Amino acid sequence: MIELKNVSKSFEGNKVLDSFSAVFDKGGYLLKGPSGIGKTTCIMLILGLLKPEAGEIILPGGTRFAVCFQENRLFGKETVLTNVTAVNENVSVTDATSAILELLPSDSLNKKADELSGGMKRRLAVVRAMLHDSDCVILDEPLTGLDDEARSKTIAFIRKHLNGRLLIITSHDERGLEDLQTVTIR
Amino acid sequence: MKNRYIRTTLIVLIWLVIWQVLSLIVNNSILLSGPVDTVKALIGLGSEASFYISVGKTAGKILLGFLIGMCLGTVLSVLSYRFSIVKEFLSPFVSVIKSIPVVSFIIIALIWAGSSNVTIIVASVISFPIFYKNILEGLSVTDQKMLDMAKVFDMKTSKKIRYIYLPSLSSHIKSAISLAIGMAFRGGITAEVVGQPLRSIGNGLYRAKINLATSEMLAWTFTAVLTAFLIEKLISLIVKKVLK
Repeated sequence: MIELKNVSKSFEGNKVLDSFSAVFDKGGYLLKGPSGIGKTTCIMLILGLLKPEAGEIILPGGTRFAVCFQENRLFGKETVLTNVTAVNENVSVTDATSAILELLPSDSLNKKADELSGGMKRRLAVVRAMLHDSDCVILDEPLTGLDDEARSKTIAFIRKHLNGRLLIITSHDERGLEDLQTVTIR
Repeated sequence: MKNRYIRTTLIVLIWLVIWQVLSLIVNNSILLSGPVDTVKALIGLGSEASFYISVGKTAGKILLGFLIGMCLGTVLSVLSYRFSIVKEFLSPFVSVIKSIPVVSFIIIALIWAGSSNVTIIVASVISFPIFYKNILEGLSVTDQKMLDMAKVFDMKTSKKIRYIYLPSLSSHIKSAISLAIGMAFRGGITAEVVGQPLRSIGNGLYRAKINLATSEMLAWTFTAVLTAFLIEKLISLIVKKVLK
């Protein structure tokens, strides 16, 4: 369980999160809110990449995360396969390959990440996160830039590879995610 | 591409002709020896085994000094990147090393270590601050977002070095090598001219100067430039393979 208690965070005097509280217990959560409201900030706080100015974030010690960042953060000069295996050492090349092929065309395997389209990079970042051995998967706008077909396939992929882990996902578009519990930032 | 080579060759040939014409006008081989005499002197030097021993010894010592400077610069830049106290502590030392004239180092090295080791010491002292500064700069501009990603995914240090730090450092390492090898050769050979270790390029230059053999001096100079060029290419090739 991850709990945010009255968490506040501001950047250059602008308060992005103001005494925000939420509980992410079990299953899947859709973190909602208008653009710029602080969804990504909330994720960065949970990941420990930002420190709150006030309030506290409570999570079990040793919680392992897997994440799909909004800006992908891929190794641009490395191949698609290497991007997955470099951060997932316990995943075999065979398993990584078959997972990639669920979302990306076969000719993309040996392409460099920089050579992929925006949508393909997004899907690669999702594959990398879903294969990572973790307790909680956080996906920040994983469906941005995907057409309807790619979107459905990606959602199905996330569900298939979740394996009972806690899921926190942000998305402007709720289609296909209606069954998730919602946490709204206002 | 082919046109570029033809153009470069033509430009070099024109400069050689200018050089030859100037030497004919001056008409004094001590003041200005022409390219033909220089090539003759080079062939003369090349016919003796001691020439190759001198080149090998000088190149080996400079290369060793360069590698010591590179290792020292790399290790200390990493420590400075990790611990700001190390960076603050080393800052005046690196600034002083960079501004001290090479000849001062040569004299100090001669007093401390004798003429046989002066080349190694000078080459390492010249290379060290170049690697230190370049690698520290490369480390400080490493993408923090990628480092955050590595932290979340709990990447091993070796993988972080391979996939995040080395790509970020690549251009800094290449420019440091190119700059340091040239400067190490210049400083190393200057040290040999002053220190006079036996069988070295610097010693050859010095003997040519005493004998007023300008063509021989130019032949030694050409040898030094060519050796530095070949070593730089060799190291760049190895680095390119490693950073691939």
